[in-house]
Amino acid sequence: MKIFSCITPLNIRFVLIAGLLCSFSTRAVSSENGHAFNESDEYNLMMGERLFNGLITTGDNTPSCISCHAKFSGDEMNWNPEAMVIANSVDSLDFDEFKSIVNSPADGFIAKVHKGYDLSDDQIAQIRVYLKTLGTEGVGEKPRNHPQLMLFLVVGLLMAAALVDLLFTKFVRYKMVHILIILIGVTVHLKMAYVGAAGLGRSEGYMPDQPIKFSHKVHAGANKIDCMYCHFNAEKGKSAGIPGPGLCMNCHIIVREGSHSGKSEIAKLIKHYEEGTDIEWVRVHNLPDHVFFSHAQHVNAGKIDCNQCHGAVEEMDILKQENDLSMGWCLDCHKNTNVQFGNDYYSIYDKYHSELAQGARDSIKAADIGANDCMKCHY
Amino acid sequence: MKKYWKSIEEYEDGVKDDHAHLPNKIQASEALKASRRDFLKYFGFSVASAAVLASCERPVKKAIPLLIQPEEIRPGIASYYASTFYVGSEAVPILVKVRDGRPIKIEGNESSVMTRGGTSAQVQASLLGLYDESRPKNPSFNKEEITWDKANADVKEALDNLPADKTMVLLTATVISPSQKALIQKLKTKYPNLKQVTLDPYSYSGLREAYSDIVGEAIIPTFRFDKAELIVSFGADFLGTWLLPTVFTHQYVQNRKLDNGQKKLSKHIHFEGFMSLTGSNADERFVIKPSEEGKYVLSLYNEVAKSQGLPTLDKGGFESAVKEVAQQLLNAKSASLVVSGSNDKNVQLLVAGINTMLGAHGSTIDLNQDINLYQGNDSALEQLLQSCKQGSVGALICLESNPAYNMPDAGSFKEAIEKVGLTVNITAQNDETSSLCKYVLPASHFLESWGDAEAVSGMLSLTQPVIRPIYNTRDVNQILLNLLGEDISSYDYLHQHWQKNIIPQSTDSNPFISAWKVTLSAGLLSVTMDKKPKSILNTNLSSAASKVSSDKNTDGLELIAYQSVPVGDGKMANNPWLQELPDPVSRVCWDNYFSVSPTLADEKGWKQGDVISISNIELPVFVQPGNHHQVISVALGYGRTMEGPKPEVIGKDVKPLFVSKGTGVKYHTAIADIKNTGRTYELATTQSHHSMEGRAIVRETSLSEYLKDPASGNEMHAEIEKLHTSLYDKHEYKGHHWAMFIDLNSCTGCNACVVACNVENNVPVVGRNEVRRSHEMHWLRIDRYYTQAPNDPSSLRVVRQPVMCQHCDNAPCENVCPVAATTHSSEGINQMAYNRCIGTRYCNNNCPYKVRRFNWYDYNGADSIPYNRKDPAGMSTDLKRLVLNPDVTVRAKGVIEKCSFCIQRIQEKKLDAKTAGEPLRDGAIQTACQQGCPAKAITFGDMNDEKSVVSKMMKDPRRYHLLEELHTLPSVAYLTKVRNIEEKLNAEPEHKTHS
Repeated sequence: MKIFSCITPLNIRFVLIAGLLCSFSTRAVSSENGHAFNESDEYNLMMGERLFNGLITTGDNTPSCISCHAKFSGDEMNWNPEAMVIANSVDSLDFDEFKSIVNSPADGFIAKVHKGYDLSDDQIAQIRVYLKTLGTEGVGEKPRNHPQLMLFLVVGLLMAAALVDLLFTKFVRYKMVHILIILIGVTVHLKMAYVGAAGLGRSEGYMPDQPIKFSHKVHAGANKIDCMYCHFNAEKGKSAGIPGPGLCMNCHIIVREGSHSGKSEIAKLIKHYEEGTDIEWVRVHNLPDHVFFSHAQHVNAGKIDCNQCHGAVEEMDILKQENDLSMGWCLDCHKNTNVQFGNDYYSIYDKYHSELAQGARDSIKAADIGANDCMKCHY
Repeated sequence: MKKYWKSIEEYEDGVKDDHAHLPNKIQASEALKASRRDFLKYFGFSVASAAVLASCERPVKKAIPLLIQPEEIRPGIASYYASTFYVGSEAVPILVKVRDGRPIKIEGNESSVMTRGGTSAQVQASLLGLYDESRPKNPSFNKEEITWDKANADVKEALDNLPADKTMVLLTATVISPSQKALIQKLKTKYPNLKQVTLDPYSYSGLREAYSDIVGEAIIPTFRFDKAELIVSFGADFLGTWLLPTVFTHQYVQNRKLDNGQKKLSKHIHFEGFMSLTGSNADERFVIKPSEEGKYVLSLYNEVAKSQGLPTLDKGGFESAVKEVAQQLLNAKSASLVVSGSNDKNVQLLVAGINTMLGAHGSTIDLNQDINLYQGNDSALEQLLQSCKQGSVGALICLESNPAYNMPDAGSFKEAIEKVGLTVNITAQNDETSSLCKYVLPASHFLESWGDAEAVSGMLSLTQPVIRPIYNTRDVNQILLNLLGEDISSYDYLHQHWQKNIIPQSTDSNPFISAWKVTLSAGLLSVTMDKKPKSILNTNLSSAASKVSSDKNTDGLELIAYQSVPVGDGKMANNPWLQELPDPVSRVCWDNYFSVSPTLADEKGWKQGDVISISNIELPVFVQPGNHHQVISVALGYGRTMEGPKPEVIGKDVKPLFVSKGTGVKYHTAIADIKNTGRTYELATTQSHHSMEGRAIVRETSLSEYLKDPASGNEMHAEIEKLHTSLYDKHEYKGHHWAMFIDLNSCTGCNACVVACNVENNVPVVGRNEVRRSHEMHWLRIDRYYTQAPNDPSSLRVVRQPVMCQHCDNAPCENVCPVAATTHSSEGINQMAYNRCIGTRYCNNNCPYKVRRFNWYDYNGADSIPYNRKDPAGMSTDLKRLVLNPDVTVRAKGVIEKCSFCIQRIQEKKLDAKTAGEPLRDGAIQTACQQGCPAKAITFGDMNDEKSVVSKMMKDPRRYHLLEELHTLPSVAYLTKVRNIEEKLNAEPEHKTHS
């Protein structure tokens, strides 16, 4: 991980500027036999891209567009509309509307943060050209780094080098060094393979982007809305239930502006509601198809707190899968969790009741009443 | 020593190597299909997919909520809607289970006093018709799709402009819907030259005509098998297909149960020419030629009349044979019931005469309550054919009647329809008539329709849609309303019709909730009608008797056409669930065949599977013990040529063999022309599979023996109980211990449970070829055994036994699984974890009951590897897969599966009890087979609960377990079969002890 932290945005910027300078000179030459390059679409697109990305400054104390309107989402909730969202809406705005939004937005949150922007008409037009292109071409793939893979390869290379040195080149005199490197390397490789294999098909830490920037921290945390208000089915059915736009509108019929996101995100909801289109939420917690899990069993009969499986949802802006949801995790919990034995349903367990009365046991665990039978979940 | 046997081969040769019938060649050639290239391809694919799996993230799944969440629809929780099953044969009140917007199961409506929640195999399977891709999807004119507006306008215009000298004919299936009748009446008012003709796929014209002579109205009275102590049936298959089999089965078993301290059984005497489901349940069975049936009835009439000092009629000639039956009838008097399946008016007149003499009318037969099914009249149909041929019919509108297949003489109908100017087919199926008609107006499936039904007068039920029409179809009422030009939806029409005409007749009244809402929720309404009570007017039977006695006896072979229990009249012949359901008598599926007795087969030198030709219809021979040695029987309802997603004609249509002129339809005929073809055809039969090698698997006794000693026939149970000892630790069940009881006395073998299980548990359809290879997947099978010699059809007896996983406490399957995929639960269930199974099939090998099933292929589209897929019945299409139960895993290729005691239902009801904070009520959990059973032969419950019904049954001396000498300690128990006969049944069946 550390190895790659040197590739910071600053460094990238150096490389880009160098590259751009080179390309600039070649393009300047190539445009001699047509009209001036600085009037061409290509030029406007290029300038728009640089303005947006902050390679050309947008003015004093005004951050570049991309610093708020990021192309890709990160680990933290970015409340501002992403570059792509703006790009998709730019077609529906004419030049003046767009300009007024950038330079002098009317009110609300956006008026505060866009204070001080004073872009020229040319610059506005250039940004528009860039955004339109972005809208049709998309942002491309999110650049990824694979620290695990790099570590795996580096360790592999080290071991190979140690092996070569041990057998042929013999730079290092002490053979213990080679052996140590190879031993540690093999251990690291095995450990990584094991962790990788065990994690196959599991997705602990999964936190996908959602079509609307809905924050559980705002709703369940700050506003203290009960989980069951939205997840209305958790006490009754297998599925906890995802609220439809109709349910959201119970509050958002009045609440039209958020403290973090302004109007933009709530506007999406209202659009879905008014146009009758589906909101395609991305499912965070997935179990394999051959597992039958019932929320009602756990929440209602078992009186398990939501947080026990889902983590501190009320502190999450972006919802994240807190546990690995593996079978071992389920079974462990069943072994340690007390059954609500006061429920009359369990009155048939005479033996356990007498053991409890005699003090031979202090509690009945879920596994004691067969919670870990195969066909409790697989059928 | 009494001998039990399952097939002729087994009877003659003893139990053979069961592998002999396995077509090894086919298996080898099939295996060779996977060439070296394929191997490399799939090897490469699996390596690549492993690599892709390792490097990629899991696919992104969407969670899309409903836009506006209706209060009563909760994700993952089923809703039930009351409706009615009616597709032209019997009518059954049902509840439809709807999960997340799609209907996935049909149950019987328990509030119906007629069925008490019973269903039939057809009712259970009718659900699949909803997801049938071959249904007509749009209105069409000359096979080109048009809009509804155009279709309505064009048809209306054509009807309006029809010349006055031409008649228009509305050819319907029997209409039992009061609202639809009213609409047809309106149509008749609008078009005075409109005539309604009713066409039934199976004719009951003779029965109606007989009652028309006797009581002055062409009715079918209701029969009360529950009130009858003695039932004499002349070829009426009332437990299988006759009139209302589901209702009759429910009634019949009321007097066949002994589990509630009952000491009496009804007696059932059956006369028939071939082995039917009902005949196989009879206590006494007389095997007669169908041409002699009338004479037997006449003889019985004479004997009964003679004993009562009433005038006798012409001699029947069989008086001595039926003397004893007559005596028994006279003893039972008005508690007796005589029925006949004949379509001959004269025979039915004589039967009614016997019932009148015995006083059965008013006791076991209710003249004042009619069965409204099968209103067709054979002579009206012949008139229709004539007038079509003469060109006097200007317009023919077929309403769900499919004359091109259902007409007794379909061949001449096809000629006749060409002379008709305007032809319209209103149908929910892509049937044979559609290709002959100009306009096709697609009707909705009954699960998409508003409607009502009155199968038995005064007992009304509603039909309500449980899903929006999948295709561009409209329900029948809506189509008729459109033709009338009325601008009203079929729901509004139905509501108004009921408010005005039906609800005022009902006695129930609730001031707070509207009767309409109550009825819609319950599905049922009984009304009292002011009708003049009917009485017997005419008792002069001499002309009927002279006609019957003058009928010539046929000397040679005779052919009987019957309806098979799974396929029936053929309306649902393209339903894979029904086609794969083995016939309860022959255990053959996917074909019809000529059934012959072993004697006849010997005489003619036929073997099973030899294809013979009768009047140019070629079908294979099936050797059926219990048939009269001069009778060949064949099932109707096959050979349908309607188009499907995979057009395949299953079996042959044998109706052309039974065309007779002027006398109505007769379902038996003399065979004139019979030839051997020299070819053979392998029938897909489940008969010789699962042989239990002569051990005491079915135990039976006679009523007289039972009354002396309730444990008679089951003596070995006590002996074996004493010998039980085990190396294994005894399981301790601290909470529930599930048990299932099957009362062999109640089970009639109707097969409703098998289809119910298939639907509930996503049991795949494997197709004819796989059944031939013994690869059928049914979790529940009904074994059928014969006793006595096959050459003596009258003494032949049949016993049936439903067998599913026995959920043994000492399960032999559990300790041979190398991966612990099958284990024992803390509640006594033998569990099967599909995702853990690696397919060694050791468990299958070690199961003494042969109830485990192996997925040789992927039949339902469970995985994405195309080579795994084998889907001969088109069950893995996107639309058909909507029928799958989301609460049960769809099994992939290479895993074992078996009965789970409907674990999903157990879990659901346990959770309901927990959330309510109450102990689980006994009877709250019903397995699918139990719920579907019209005879309530299956009981499920908790053995650990002392008050439960199964705990009481545990103490029943009739209780025994399958192969209990193996000490597997099954959780499924059987109650011995008790026959109402005098003779002492052999109490000690052949019993091999294994050391």
